[in-house]
Amino acid sequence: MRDWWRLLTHISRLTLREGRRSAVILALLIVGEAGVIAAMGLSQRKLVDDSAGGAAGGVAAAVVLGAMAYATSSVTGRVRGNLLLYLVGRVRGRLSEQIQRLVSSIPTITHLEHAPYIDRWNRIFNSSQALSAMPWSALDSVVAVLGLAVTVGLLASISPALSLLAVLGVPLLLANRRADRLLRDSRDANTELLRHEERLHALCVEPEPAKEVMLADGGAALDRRARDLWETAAVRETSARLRGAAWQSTAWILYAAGFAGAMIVVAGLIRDGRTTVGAAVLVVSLATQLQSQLRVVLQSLTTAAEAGQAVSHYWWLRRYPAGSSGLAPPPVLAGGITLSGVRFRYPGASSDTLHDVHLELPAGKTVAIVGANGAGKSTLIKLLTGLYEPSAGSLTVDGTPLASLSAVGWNARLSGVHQDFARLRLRLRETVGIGNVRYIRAKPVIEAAIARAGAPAFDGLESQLGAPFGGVEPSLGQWQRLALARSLMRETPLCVVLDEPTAALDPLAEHELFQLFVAQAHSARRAGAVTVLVSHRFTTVRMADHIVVLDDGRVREQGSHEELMAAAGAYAELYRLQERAYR
Amino acid sequence: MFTDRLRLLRLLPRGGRGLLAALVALQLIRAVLPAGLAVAVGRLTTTLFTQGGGQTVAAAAVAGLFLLDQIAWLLIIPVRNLLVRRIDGDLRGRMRAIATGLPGLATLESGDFQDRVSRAVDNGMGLARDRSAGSAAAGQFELMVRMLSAIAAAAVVASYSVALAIGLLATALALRVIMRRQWLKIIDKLDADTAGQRYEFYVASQSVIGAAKDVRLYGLGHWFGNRFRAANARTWGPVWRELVGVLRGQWWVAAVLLVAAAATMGFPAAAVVDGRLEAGRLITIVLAGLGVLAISAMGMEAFDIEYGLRGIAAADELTTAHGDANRTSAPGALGPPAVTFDEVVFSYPGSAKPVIDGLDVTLRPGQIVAIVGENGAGKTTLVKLLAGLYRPSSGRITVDGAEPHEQRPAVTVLFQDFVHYPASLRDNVTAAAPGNDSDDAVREALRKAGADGLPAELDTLLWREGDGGTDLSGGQWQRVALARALYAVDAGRRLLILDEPTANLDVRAEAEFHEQVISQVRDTTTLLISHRLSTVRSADRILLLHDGRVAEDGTHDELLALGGRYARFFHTQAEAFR
Repeated sequence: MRDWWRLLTHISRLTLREGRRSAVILALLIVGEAGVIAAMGLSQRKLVDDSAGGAAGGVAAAVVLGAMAYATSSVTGRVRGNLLLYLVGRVRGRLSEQIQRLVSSIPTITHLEHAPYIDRWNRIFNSSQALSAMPWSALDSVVAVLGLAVTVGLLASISPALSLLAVLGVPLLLANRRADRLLRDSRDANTELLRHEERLHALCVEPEPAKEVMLADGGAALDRRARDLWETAAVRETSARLRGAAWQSTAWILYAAGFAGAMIVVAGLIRDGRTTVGAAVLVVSLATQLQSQLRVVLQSLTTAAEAGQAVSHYWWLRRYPAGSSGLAPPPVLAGGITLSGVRFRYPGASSDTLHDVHLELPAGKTVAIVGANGAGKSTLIKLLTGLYEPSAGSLTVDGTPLASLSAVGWNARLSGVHQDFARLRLRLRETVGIGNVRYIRAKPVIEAAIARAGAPAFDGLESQLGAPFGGVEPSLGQWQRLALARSLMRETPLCVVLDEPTAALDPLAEHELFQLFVAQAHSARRAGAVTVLVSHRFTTVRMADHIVVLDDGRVREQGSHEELMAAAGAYAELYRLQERAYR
Repeated sequence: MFTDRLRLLRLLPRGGRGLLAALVALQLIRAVLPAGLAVAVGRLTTTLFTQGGGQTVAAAAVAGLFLLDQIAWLLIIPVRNLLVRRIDGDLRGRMRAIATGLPGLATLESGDFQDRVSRAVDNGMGLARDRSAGSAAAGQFELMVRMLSAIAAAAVVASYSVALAIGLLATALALRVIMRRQWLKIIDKLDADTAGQRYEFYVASQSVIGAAKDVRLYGLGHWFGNRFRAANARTWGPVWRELVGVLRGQWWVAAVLLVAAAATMGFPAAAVVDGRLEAGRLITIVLAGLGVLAISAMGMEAFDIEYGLRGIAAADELTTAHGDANRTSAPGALGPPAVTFDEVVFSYPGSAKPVIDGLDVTLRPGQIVAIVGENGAGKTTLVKLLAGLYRPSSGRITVDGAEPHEQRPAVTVLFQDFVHYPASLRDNVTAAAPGNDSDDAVREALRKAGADGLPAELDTLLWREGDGGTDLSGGQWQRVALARALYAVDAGRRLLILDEPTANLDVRAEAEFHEQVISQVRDTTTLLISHRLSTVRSADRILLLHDGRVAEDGTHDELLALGGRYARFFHTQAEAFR
């Protein structure tokens, strides 16, 4: 509940910042609406009684009151609807932006890869509408309760027994809460299905994957699966809604019975001459309006519940370690990076990917990691860059545990290319320049990086990349060179990771690029940068100062090329194997 | 406009006829209820005025109609929701069918096509509601029901005064037309810039999904955040201005409604005072009159209709343009095909420089041909041309006599950026030739591809985002993709194209690749693109691509003897091992 209040305060503040005047007007309109229902009911009573009694003055007063109430309520309804769209829309944009910043400021990527986490922040995104409407659903509830009090007061003024009608609203509220919970559960269960459907859909309509689907004639099979997922989700939600409707119908039956009873009570009062026929009209008007008031309460409760559920997810995200706190990394690496007893297991996996890894990555040196597919090379790289946290053991940077360094600070001193680097279809200047956002407009710097990586210049730095956006679509090899150019934008990295950065390049190009990186490392030796390279090409690997052979998540052997060749172990065997192709 | 509306109604049966019948019945009940309730309340007051008995029945009728209204409303929501979902799901399916049924990639890659597809099925950036064809169709139906409801209420008013009934109906409809126009302006603003919106949405989404690792490596969270803010301002700014402008023009609407409501109450009340109308009927006329005016209120359905219509229009344009693209695929061939390239030239749309420039070569059936060349030499483009994904700008390609862009050959391609299907290991293998799934064939393909370290269970979900799903390393994925291609060969695809099949394989797998994989594949014409000389050297024939044409052609030994580019390429690498 405290979380709920805090988020309400946060969003109310956002709302006021986005449109103070609109927010005030909207609040006044909502409060004003509370009186409209009573005015309508009273005017109808007066209209019926005074016209039957022939009191022309009273009739005129009733008409004026009723017409004003009606016009106010319908115009208010519309203005209010549009103002709400306007304000909630603006706040939603701001909130989505905040959520996006939060998600991307988390230093690790476990939350992006592991289903239960993905579901959580997906739900936050999906509830951004309900979250943004929080202040208004809260105000709606308060005002509807006020209006309800006025209604009950009027009913009681006819006969105290009539106020019991409001008590019958309680089962309605309970049934509604139950229906809400059913719906929410079904929606939660559907998130994964719909995400799966969305992925399958993208495979069919996005050109990159669709080319393979087209050639395989796989469209029909994917379509069938996507349709099944969609239908399952829709049916599941419908069945939850129907079950909810059954509960609500039962509650409405009780209410309708009470309503009929109320009218019979009033009829008795009229027969006894204790009230007028107009009172019966007032009761009908109030009881039917009571229904719409209750509906507002119910709807705002639904929205509040939806928001309420997202509240916990929201604070979960806010409290996720954000990584801006911690020590600053050393300006210069003196010793190096040390892994001691590092183990890693993917969430939900049944066995470790890395077992008890001890490694020294000395400052100023180039370290190559080789090993079979699935040996854990990329996982090791992700641990070094802080994308994953070790399940056990520690990484230290010049003796300081990596965990105690500020993740933002550490990231700022990293550079390199991940195996599945991003192919960002931005402008050429941007896709390279984001390697160092400070220089994103510094054309000479970017041009130099592009030239050094041998990346294509296309039609200048402002060329749009990506066929779907009317630009050129680089080949995979060209993308890799662009990614390398991006990594060259960093000035004094402490650690450079290159995870098969050149797999799509020809060996000569790889050789030449690797020399470039070694030269880079050399010039950055004053900063003591460690360069960590993953490659399957031994002509490149042998140039490294230190070579680590990983096997099934363990360090099998390590040393210089000469040492490992002399040892005649796994490395030597693999080296000779590759060499054979060049005899 | 009328045809548009009809178009929407015709979508409704796609949600299922039974479901539609239920919705129609429920909506009709709700349509006549306001008029019915007005009459019932009138009857109740009449019995109260006359005190002639029958009050209990009259009260029960009012309460019963009221209850009926509630229950119909409660049932309409789930029924409508399911109908809407089904219509939307069907439309999504149609878009998929059109996209994957296109004759080639050029259309799919065009911005025009992508714009329409994303317009047809909402990308989740709708104005407080998502754009949905189903909602539009259901909204259209609701609108008709509301009209019907207003007419029924007007009929009740007409029993007192035809003039009042017509006046109220006309006023309500006029207000409605005006307000609809205001909505349209807002939607126009919203739709003005789909291409820009799609691009900004793409950029914004990259920070969370597409580029997660780079975002962290380079600390780009805030840069992307700012892009998102800019995108939001650009998309919504004009919409908000329009919305606020509309709000300022509400005063006179209030005035018109005030007069109309006063007339609804004033005229019949005056008639009662004059004795021209019996007192009990007054409330009936007033309630019915207000029921007529209710149609002037704009429900969300008006927005749903207008917004959804644009999406349907986009879908229809795509269907008309591409729906009946009857691309034919060659049946699985018995033997390996012959392939010829005859003076083939190809350049990408909007680019003056041809990527393939006078390619002239014949591949004999059953040959294993390797293609080498620098990055950007056009190797992958050549693959796409051969598979019929692009049409040559000039020249002619034939596979067993047929042109690939007209009749897609029985081909299977392992692309460099092969697909990671969010599906089971089995489905990831059978994806290349769906239809005749056999677990034995799947296991056999995996075995041939050397996929030892993979999950043993074929049902394992290879999608970490899914419940119980797992992911593979880059090299493991490549083996799965290789198994996929081999499975397709087994299913009768006799033209096998492997684009960098060993790029992510480890040394041992790479060294054994030819022996273990290539030499095991029988009865195919094989095209092998690779930078790895160990992969290339045992091919029957090696083509060196340079400047979009074949510069050297021969076996490994022949090319070495030739002393050209290939020899230089080889020697430089061999040098590195000394």
